[in-house]
Amino acid sequence: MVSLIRMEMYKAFHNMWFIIALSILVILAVLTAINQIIDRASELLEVFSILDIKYMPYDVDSCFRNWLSLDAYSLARFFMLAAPFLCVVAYAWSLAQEEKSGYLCTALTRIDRKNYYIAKYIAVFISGGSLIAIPLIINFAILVCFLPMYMPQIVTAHYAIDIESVFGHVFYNQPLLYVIGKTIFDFLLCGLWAVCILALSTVMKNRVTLLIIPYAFLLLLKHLGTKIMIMLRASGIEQVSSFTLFDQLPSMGDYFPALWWVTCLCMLFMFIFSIVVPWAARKRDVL
Amino acid sequence: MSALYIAGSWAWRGVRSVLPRLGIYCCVVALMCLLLFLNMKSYPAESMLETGGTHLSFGDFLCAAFGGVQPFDSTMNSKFNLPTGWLCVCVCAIYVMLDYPLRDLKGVGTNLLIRTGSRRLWWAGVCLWICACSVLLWLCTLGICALWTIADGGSFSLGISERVPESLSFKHLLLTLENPVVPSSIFIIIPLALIAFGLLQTVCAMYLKPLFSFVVVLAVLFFSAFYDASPWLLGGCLMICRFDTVTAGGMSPLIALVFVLFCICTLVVGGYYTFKNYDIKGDPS
Repeated sequence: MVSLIRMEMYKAFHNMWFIIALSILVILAVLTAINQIIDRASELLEVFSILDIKYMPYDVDSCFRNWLSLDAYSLARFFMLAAPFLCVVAYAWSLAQEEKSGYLCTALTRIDRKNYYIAKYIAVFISGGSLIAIPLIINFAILVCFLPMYMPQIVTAHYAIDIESVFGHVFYNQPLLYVIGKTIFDFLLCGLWAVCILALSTVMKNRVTLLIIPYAFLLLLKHLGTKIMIMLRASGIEQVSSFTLFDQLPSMGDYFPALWWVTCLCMLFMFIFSIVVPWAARKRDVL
Repeated sequence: MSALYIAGSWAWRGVRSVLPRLGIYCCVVALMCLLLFLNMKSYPAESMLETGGTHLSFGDFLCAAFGGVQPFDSTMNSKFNLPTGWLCVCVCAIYVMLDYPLRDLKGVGTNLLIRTGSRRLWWAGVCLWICACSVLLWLCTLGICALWTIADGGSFSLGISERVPESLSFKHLLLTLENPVVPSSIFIIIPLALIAFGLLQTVCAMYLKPLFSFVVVLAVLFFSAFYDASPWLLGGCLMICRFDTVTAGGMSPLIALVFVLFCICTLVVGGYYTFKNYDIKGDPS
């Protein structure tokens, strides 16, 4: 079993698709960081010239505020839009491809189907999660080199993080812990999303369809959810939450916050889905 | 067999193979129209009568599919909201035209190419197929919007009802005109813009892979939504709310048309030269 997991991990992290997807996300993360640093530097030079000072005054623009997860500008938003697609492009399609090429038939004559799926599950989960975690860490590391780690103050009202959102209360007390926690949380979200696609690949075989239809479904779900929540709010229900990855991956949603318990429910649903679908298809002929 | 017949029959085979995907697109467009319909019906009847009637027009339903979003104004200290409805329709449209040419080239297409002995003919077939798919997508959109208009009892005018921009989240306090109208040139611009996207995707797929060419097109769509109302980002031509009959200072339909035609010509020529040197046996996967 261990050697099987090791082999799957090697295949997951050494395939061209993973490298290209990771490169795209890392480039976006680095460009976002550079963009933020240039913006802050130009603002600072302006402050120096106006106030005639030579030190950096206290400012809300800390590395926490400019972190990719909290950034609401173009490249960061595109990162969060592309991430759910690219994290499944990396390796989630592999089972369908192996079945199509005949590799699976050969493998299953030597290995138990359940063990094979578990090894694949672990590899897809970790590769999918790494695709979001690595760029988030790189982005933060670059920002830390240039921007101060000022403590975020809730009174400044410059942070759009809702106290009800995931780790919302941690952000204003232990921001570094928030960064670590949110990165792990995004890792889990993307990992679970990737294994959902792996589960779907037991019933869908076309790689393009397998990757694009769930993505289009996510977009549709977000649109539907927004419309429904606008109606709910209009009818007096205040406690509404977004339930799609596009709002759960960043620290703040578009229209509505992603409440922590709704996000946890979504994660539970994705976990159950990734177990139940392959279980239902466990006796399907692979030939 | 004449060259045109070969290219035409190849394109026809391609159109038949994408019909299931076209079904998904139609469902999504119908759902967008349904959401607009439900949203408008949720307003109190009195307020609807004050603002010009309770029935939605043909132009309103067209906006439900291709309304788009106003350019993001960072100076107003607001968050950028993803135009998910519009993006979903566009993603389903480009999914229809995503991978057929290169998928076919790994099977029957190669044999056809060898038999005809002309790469130019194959590329002409691809261009024809993209045109046919785009026209079909647009006709389906028009058909669904027309059916919704008839079902709601609305008029076949291109005017946009007062509450529709607000409901579709493309109302801008300063920019949206008082009596917005869908420009009639949209009947040419949107299918041409779909052709341009189909070509862009196919050309990118030859350099990258169909899935990464999808990321490129997704990026163009996203940045078109994010940045200002210029036609230089092709996605702007797929958004009704970016035209000057809806938005003050919006883009002129004529400029959009010229730009889209320029893009198509460039992509047809660029695609031909790309395919001329394309290794059809290079990647067995």
